[in-house]
Amino acid sequence: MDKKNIGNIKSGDEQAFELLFRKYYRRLCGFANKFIANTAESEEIVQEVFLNIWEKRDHLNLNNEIRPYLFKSVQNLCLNFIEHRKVIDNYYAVIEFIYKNQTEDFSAYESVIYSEFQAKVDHAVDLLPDECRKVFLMSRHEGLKYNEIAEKLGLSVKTVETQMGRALAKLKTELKDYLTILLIALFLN
Amino acid sequence: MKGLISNEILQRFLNKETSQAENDEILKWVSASDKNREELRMMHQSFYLSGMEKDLSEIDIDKAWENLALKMPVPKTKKKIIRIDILQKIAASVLIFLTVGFGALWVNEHYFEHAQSAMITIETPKGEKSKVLLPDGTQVWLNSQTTLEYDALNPRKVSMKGEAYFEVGKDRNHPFEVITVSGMKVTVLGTRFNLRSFAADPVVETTLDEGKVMITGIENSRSVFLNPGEQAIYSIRENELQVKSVQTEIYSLWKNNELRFNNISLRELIPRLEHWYGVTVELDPSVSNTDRFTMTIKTESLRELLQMMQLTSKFNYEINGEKITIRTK
Repeated sequence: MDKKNIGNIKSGDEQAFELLFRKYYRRLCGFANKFIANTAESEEIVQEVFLNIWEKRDHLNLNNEIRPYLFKSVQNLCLNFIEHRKVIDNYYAVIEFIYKNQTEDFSAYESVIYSEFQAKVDHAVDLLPDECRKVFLMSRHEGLKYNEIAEKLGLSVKTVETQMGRALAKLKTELKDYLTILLIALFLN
Repeated sequence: MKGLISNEILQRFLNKETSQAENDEILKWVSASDKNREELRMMHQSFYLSGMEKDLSEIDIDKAWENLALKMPVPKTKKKIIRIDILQKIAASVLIFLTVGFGALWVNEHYFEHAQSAMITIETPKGEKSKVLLPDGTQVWLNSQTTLEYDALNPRKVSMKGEAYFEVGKDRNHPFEVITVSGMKVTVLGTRFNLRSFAADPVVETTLDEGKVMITGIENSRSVFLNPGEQAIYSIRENELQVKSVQTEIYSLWKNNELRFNNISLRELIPRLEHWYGVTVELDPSVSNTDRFTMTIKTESLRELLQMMQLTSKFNYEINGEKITIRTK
């Protein structure tokens, strides 16, 4: 479908472009969020990538393979963003450092591996002790800050931090194999 | 520095709650060894992936498209052309609907401004069934009194009320999603399953023949994977999911115009008969519910069936048009 669609986009078919956008937008935002950790900013970056494609559609040389191009472009813009931002916020300096020279198989994010991974995450979360799980879900699923969680559950912020640390250490151990797959799949293909 | 950093501080870092000074400390720590770097990367990866679903749920794709469309420099393609194109798509999907048996079906199309979606609704009336082929190759058998709704531009996300059997076209990259009237969702990774979720039913029943599906409760509250031969019963009010092994074939026989029951009570039987024959059955509460029925229905009329049941169970019935009353003898 992509193949035919790209031909249409090149000839200026806005509807074909919209299909492409709708197909990849969410996934790309999810991917950008890894570097940016801010959904609104991620959305802006992804929209910029699409805008670029539309503006340059006459000159695009994609050999009909748009998916890697999309992910790669998003990654590049994210790294640019980090590059500028790390000066004022060294959170980004750490993120840049840990992912420097890492290659990923973008397709892993939309494949069965990813779905299995999600199930694995759910399972690992289910295995956490009650309080630990509650804290983790409030943070990761409801997006609450530590002090908000502490207040809601009547715990100290320190306890919330401890529980989160515990949850994550546990997840990391449970998911080790999958994380490795996600990171190095490219070399196996 | 090596190894001397607490899980808590790393965790706070992932949540972007550390101070600049703490971030400096973390940067020093990750630079100290490859092992540390690897460790934080793994943690970040788990953290990021475990929150991705929530992050993505915040995204409003329609709004994003509107926003982008405003910035797109080329004058908009004339609306008329888009509409014709969509009409053709709809016409194409309508053409490939096949009716099974005596089913008639209604197709309603609604167009949204800017043609961002083209919703199609298919309804089967009482006592009739139909079969639909979606643009992505997925086949859906609709049981009586069932509504299926989807967007012709995005046919891998459908909503369903009633009972349907899905044979989902394979596309690894695009999971197929069915949202039931209760809000429970089935995400399909593999292929064939039966889904029953009538508005009045307290439970949603998903029976998997082949492949793999993921069931997600209301608002992503809980989820479970089903393997072939398993059935998930989702209790809507309690928001609970239960999985058991069943003989899956009997749950989808309706699509071949066959209905089979294995050791079920009168009360369990009635809703299925209502949908099968397109009638309303009133069951007098005084009728005993202890008798169990095992039978297969193909071409039998309702009267024949009730007479057959009377051989093993004591009750009287009265057929009045589409209304059946069952009383004690």
